Amino acid sequence: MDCNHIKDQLIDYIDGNLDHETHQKFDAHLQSCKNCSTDLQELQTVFEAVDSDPIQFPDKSLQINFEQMLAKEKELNNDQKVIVMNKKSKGSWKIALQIAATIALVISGYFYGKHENTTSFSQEMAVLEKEKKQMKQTMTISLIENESASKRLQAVNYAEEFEKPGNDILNALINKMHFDDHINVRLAAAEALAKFSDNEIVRKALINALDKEQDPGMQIELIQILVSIQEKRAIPSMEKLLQNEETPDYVKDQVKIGLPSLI
Amino acid sequence: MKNLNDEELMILVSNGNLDMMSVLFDRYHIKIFNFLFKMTRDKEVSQDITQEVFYKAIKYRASYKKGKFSSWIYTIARNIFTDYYQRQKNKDERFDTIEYKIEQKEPDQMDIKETNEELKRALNQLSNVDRELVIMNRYQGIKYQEIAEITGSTAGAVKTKVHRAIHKLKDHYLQNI
Repeated sequence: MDCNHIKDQLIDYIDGNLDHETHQKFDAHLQSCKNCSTDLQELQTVFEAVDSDPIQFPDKSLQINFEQMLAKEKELNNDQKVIVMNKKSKGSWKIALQIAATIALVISGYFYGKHENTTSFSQEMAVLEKEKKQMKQTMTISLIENESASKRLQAVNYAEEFEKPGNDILNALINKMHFDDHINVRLAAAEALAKFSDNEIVRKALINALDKEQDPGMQIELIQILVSIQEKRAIPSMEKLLQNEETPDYVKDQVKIGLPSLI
Repeated sequence: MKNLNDEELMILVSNGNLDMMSVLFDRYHIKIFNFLFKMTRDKEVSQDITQEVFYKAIKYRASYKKGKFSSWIYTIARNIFTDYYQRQKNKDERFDTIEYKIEQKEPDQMDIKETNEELKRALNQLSNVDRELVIMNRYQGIKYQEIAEITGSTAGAVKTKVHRAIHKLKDHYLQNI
């Protein structure tokens, strides 16, 4: 171990930064080398001087000034917090967006509600309409069997109002046309059935009725209906009426007027 | 709160608990003051700078990034001292009277207990860089690694420089005796 090497690490030796083995080697060298031991002494003298240098203490004013400064900064810090809050409100577009979203929600809610209302309303109306129809049908059928001729007449008039009457209604009307005791009811039934002449049952019933009907008023009514619906199958019945001596002249006249338009 | 280490306290400060700074002030202000006093030899200036160090530590508390607190506070102290030193130098250039002022000041410093005038003179004979290294390592007891963090160097380089500065100090000191 040469002296230069020792000199380089002398401070570490004093500070105790060397490992045990190196430290012992230093001890050995320093005991034998006068030059190096002098260097060590000199360094130790300086370090002793440094270590014995007294710590200086600042005036009390430093502490007081610090506390005043800290108090001021705390105040500022609180103020800054307020400013930060204000800054947040600067992002007013956010609030504007929130308001816009609220308005949009309210409006869409209103329209949705309105739409929902109208659909449910129309649904309700449809249900009511259906119920009304069913009521009328039931009423018509029950009225049509009534003892009072005027009630039966009323029922026939009701039946006339149906756009697409059920078979039970049509059958009831046909029945009335054929067999009702009262001529006015039979007439009204025939008139009502004329409206539903698209139906094959109705057409056959009308032809059948002309065949069997004895009342001249009813006969004229049926001839008019059959001619207007261009029912050619009624021709034999009409010719039969012409040949029958019992048929009144004015009925025959009606057949004569109607027949040419059918043939 | 007194049980918390420097770093934990400083994190509290940076989160807005400014009262914790007074604990750190109690722990560090004498050390910082002594560091500056050794550098400037001026009690008033050292007190002013110490005050400014803690003012800046509060002001820039958000810039504290969980490193060693002592390194951070010494970095601030060094920056302020450097600014002060630069200002003084500029003043010196402008006013030739500064020499006279320093000489005038000398007797005022006499009231401060200075057991070893020779050591004081030896320190003043060092360059600013060497003096700072000696003060940080031998007076303040700051480890090489931490000095490296403060000065932006490596521990190895710092150790070599410190050793060289100590040898210079020793030579000056021995000449003065």
